[in-house]
Amino acid sequence: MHRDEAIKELLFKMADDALILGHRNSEWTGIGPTLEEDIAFSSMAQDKIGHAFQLYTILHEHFGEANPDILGFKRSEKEFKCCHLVELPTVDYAFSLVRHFLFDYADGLRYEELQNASFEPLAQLAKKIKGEIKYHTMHANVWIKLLAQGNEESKARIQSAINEAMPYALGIFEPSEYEKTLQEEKIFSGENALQTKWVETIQTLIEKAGLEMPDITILKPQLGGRKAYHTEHLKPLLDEMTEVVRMDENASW
Amino acid sequence: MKSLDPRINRVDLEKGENAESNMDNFWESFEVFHQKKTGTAYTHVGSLQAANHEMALVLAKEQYGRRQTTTGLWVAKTSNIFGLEESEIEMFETTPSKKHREAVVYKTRDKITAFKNRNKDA
Repeated sequence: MHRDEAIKELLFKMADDALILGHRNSEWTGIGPTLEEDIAFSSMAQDKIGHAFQLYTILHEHFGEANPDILGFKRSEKEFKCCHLVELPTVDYAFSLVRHFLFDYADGLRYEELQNASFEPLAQLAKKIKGEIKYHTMHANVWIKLLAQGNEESKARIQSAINEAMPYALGIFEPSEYEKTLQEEKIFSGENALQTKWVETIQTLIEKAGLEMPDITILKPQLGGRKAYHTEHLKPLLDEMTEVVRMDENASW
Repeated sequence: MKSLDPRINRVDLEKGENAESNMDNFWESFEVFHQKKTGTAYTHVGSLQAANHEMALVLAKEQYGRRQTTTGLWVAKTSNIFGLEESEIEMFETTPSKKHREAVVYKTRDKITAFKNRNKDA
C-alpha cells in the first residue's frame, strides 16, 4: 500500500537522523566545554536516541519491521536513510552547536506539524516529545546568540560553521518519492514546505544574533542520504556504535 | 556572596603572574532556585557556571530540573546575593528564658489543635 510505504519512509529517515546525530553528539560526553554544558548536551543526545527508539518501535509494531535493537544496530549503511549533515564528524564545538541549531529547528518544525498527522501513533509521539524539542531549540539558540556576541573569534567560528554546514542542512529536506501521498493522506505537507518554514525561522534567528544567513539559492544541497547514499563518515560511525553488540551477537541485555 | 564552586576557587589559587583564566572573563557563578509545585516556595538547590542569566536558566534545567518535577526555576548571580558573615551569626543567640519569642511554640500548638479537630470529625 502506498500510504504504508510513505509513512515508513518518513519514519525511517527521522529515526536514522535521530540515532546518528544522537551518537555524534554523545561523542562530547565527558569532554564538553564545561561540566554543566557537558551534562546538558549529553542529555539531549540521549533524548535523540530515545526519539529514534520510539520511531523504530512504531515501525516494529505497525509495519512488521524488526525490533528497535535490530533496526538500530544490525543494519548496514546501505540501509540507513539519514541525511549527510548528521554523519559529518565532530570537528569542534562550534560545528556541533551549529549542527544542533540547524537540525533541531528543522526537527522542531517537523514534529510540530506531525502533531496533526492522520497517522495516530506518530501524532501521539510528536505531542509526547514536544517539550524535549522545545528545550533543544532553546539551548541551541542561547548558545548561538552568546557566541555571536562573544568576541571576534567566537563570532567568526560560528559564522564559518554556519557557512560550512548549510549545504548539508539543506540535505535534510531531500524530497522523497512519497511527498504527494503524504500530503493526500494528511500526514505531512512535505519537505519543500518544511524547508520554507525552516529558512524563515533560522534566518530570523541568525540575523537577530548579528550573523549572516548564507544565500541558499546559490548553494548546492548535499543530497543522497535519503536514498541511502552516504558520506564516507557513516560506516566508521556505525562500526564504532555497534562494536559492543558485535562482540556477542546473542547476548541478552 | 563568594562562590562555593570549587572551580572558581581553583582558578584563584592557580592564578600565577601571567595566568589568565577564561572563566574570569566569561563565566560567572549563579545560584539556582527550584520550585517543585506551583504556589510553593522556591528552594535553593545549588550553583552552576554560565555566561549570562539566559544560559544559566538553560543549564539549570538539565542540572537541577531533570530528576524531579519542576514548575519553576530562578537563577541569580552569586555576587548579587548578600548574606551575613559567619561572625555576625552570634546576634541570633538568645537567652533560654526568652524561648517564648521563638514562633515555633505557636506553630506546634496549631498543629496539635488541627490534629485534635481532625480526630473529632472522624
